[in-house]
Amino acid sequence: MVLFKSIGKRHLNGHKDLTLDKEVVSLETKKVYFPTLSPNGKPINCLVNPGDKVKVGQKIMERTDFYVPIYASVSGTVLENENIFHPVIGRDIPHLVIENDGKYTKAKPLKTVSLDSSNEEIFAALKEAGLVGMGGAGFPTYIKYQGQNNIDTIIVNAVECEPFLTTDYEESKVHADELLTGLRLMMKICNAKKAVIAFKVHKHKAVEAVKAQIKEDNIEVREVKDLYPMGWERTLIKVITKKDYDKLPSEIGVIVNNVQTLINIGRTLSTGEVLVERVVTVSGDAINEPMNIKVRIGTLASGLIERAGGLKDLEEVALIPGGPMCSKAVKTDKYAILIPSGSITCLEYKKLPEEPCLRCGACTAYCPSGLQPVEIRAAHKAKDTERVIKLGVINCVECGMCSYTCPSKIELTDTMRLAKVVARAKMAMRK
Amino acid sequence: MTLTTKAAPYVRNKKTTFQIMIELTIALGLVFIFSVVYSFIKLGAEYGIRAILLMLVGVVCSLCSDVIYTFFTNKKDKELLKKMLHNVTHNYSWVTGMILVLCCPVWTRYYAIIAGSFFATLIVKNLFGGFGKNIFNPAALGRIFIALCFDLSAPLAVRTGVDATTGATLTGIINSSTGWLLDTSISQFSLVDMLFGNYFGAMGETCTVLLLVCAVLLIVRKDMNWRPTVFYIGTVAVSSLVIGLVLGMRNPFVYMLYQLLAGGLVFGAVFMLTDPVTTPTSPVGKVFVGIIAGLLTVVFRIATNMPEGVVYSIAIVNLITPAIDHLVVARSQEHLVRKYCVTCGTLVLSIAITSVLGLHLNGGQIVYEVNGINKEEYEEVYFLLDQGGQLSSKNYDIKAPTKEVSDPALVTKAQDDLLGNHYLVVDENDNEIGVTFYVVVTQEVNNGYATADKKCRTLVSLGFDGSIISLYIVLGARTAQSFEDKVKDGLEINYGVDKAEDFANIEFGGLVAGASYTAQGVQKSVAKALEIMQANYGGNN
Repeated sequence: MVLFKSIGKRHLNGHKDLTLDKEVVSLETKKVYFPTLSPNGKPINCLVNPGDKVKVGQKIMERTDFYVPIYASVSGTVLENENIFHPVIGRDIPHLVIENDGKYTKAKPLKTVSLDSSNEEIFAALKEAGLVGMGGAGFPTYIKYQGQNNIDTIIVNAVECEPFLTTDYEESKVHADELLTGLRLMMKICNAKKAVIAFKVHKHKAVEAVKAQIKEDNIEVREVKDLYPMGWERTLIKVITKKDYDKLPSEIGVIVNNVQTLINIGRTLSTGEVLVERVVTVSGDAINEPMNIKVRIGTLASGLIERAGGLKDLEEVALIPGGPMCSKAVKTDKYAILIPSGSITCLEYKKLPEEPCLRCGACTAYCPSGLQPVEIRAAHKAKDTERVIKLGVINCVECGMCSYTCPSKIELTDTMRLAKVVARAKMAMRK
Repeated sequence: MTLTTKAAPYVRNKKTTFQIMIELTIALGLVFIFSVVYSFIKLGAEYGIRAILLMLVGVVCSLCSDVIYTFFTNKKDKELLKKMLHNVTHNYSWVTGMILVLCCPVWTRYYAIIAGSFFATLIVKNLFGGFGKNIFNPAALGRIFIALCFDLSAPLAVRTGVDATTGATLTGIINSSTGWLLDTSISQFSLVDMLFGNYFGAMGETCTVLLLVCAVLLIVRKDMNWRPTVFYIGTVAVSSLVIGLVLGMRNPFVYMLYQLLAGGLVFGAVFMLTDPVTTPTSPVGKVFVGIIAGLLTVVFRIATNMPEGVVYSIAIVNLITPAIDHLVVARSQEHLVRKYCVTCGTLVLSIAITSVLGLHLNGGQIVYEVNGINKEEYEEVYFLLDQGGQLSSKNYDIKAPTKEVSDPALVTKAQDDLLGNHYLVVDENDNEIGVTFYVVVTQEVNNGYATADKKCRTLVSLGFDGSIISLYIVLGARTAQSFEDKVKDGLEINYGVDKAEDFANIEFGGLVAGASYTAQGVQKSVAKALEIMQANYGGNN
């Protein structure tokens, strides 16, 4: 029982059974789309021109903020740029389009490395692999390892705490060997003393598959409780190492990687084949046939929804490019599936009647960041931005817990988001 | 079909505010059913039906105030009826009404309940903006309003058994007799009775076990927070234990239990202090108000002439809630050391304050005289004792001593004095069960302009086990006229106990005036009587 701290996590109905252990279906696509802007709005350089022929695994773009190469996921012809929606940026932006010729001609594979290679070689290969975090944030993976040579623990995040998502489970079940290959390489380059692979409880098949591959003493599989947001870096580190940190986990010698990221590190670094396809969960109560679909990167979401039997005929549907807790619903299904996009959740949307806040403090009790949403809301309503900043709204991670918990069904997370924007602006003005 | 653009999250917890309030209503209903059944069994159908009617009146009045408020604020609204229905069901005023009625004894006048619940819901709740906006706990303020404006004394029919007093509740008796500072004064009430609610008090507050069961259910169902309740009860418990220890009571733990079980303490802790609207939202704030309310309750009980401190302390805590909410800005995992320091510091401080206050109130410049009485006083008491029937009952009788007093100093002053030897109390089988003392306490009395020494005279009958058999105020400390003057003036003096009633009660006769001084005097008298008891009949204790 906690006296002053917030509980910070609670059990949600995961609805994982909708897609769990179902056969993963493959989907062909005519065209693939690659955005010309990074999620933070910085432009991405195109290395090919309309009319060029490209092969699978050929480098076609390069981000300008960090060095991240982007590889073609199909072979075919580059077409004129098209404006389509980007869920993270939130508006239509130009996308590079490649028309699939259906042949999947492979380009020359990248340089491979093994455990005998030097740390520099492995790191260079990791940087060249163009991998970004597959858990949802899409942060370039190699940056986590840059300059880190004194790490204590690598935590492999296979928790998938958001409801409906099952891709981490499916992939780790099938690709346990590649996961361990990737993990060993990463442990080598940052001198990690041990690694913990974190699964949610009752994921027996995946746990068994991974355990069968473990030969070392310093890699362990840990099952964590079925609570949300267990997969959030900060909560997971706290549960596994019992430690808090200020800004980055590396402060306390921890690196957290998504399990699929590590699987792809293992595959790309040992075979030289870059990441061109991923598994996407298409689930929810508003989709006819929930399933996991393996698609080429850049496939349109509309294709996946069609493959999953289309949306049910309901009055209002939330089409969510991600899990239902954090991601914002989009108003079109014409957007590209990229490396971090693990799921499409389609839910029936019903506006719940909002009641006055009864100040029960449930939001405060459950906030994983230890904030007081009820007080932030009051201060935000009173336009007291100073107090909003004082209450630490900047630390809000928009996990959706406060809105989920609120018995009066107040849109707290949305208020937090707005308050954060206002607070950021005020803080920027002060500087 | 449309694709929504509303904000995340798209999955929600099933629990709603309405559900919380329904569950709270069920818990209150359980407490109410107990009280109705108890009234039926102990007082008969008249009071059983009265309990039900009071509840009906309370709930209907609070719902009416919602209707009235909605009507006057939305007069021109076309959907007035719809709005009214929504307000009636979602302003949760019936909960206020239920709590208010359960705070009052079953013999409360109907008009008092009507006035109280309109005051609570219309003024304290709706005028501040309705559910979620009120700064005071409406039921607590309604209860204070009733206590200030209306007579809550029990009608004669109810004054049987242990309740043959004028106080509204047990706490009234305790407060006016010994000011919450003597363990013996309340020990005539069985702890088991108090635990299971076998005594009269406010309707909802008597059965502590049921209240605790409700609390556990509500906490498990996450309808209320455990922090204020636990820290409130804890603070009162620790404070009264320390008071018991510093005052050298015979059994401080029993004293602590009486403090916890008597009055609306547990009811207030479970149903009023946990009201989320009027208590802080942060965990540390909830702990802090629990401690502060506990401190205030003990201070109100021992240091003021109010019988109860629970609702007053809750109202004051409501008042400081916005300040606490304003001060707690840190994230919950930050400043943990500071939070622990503040809470522990407040806890220690409240224990210190209450025990010092207890010591101070129990001491003072009180002069005791026992049995060393002058002619005038002797006649008064003789007059009293002469009315044999008035000091005896079917169960007890006071008769001339059969046992020599060991301490000669106590009897030398008045050898021929009727009271020179302590009178023995015998029961119906002529078994000696205790002693009656005549105690005179000289107190400094301040009437607002000048101070004077006044004497409070009491007849205290103590059992050999140290329990109080009877307590009889011959003359209160503040009475202006002397006893004889009053008799001469032909005033009717209610100094006797009704023959039909049980003598084993704390009973107020004589000329009681200046209640608080008298109460203090009585408290000292009992203490002194106990002292002599121990000196002369010691070993039996």
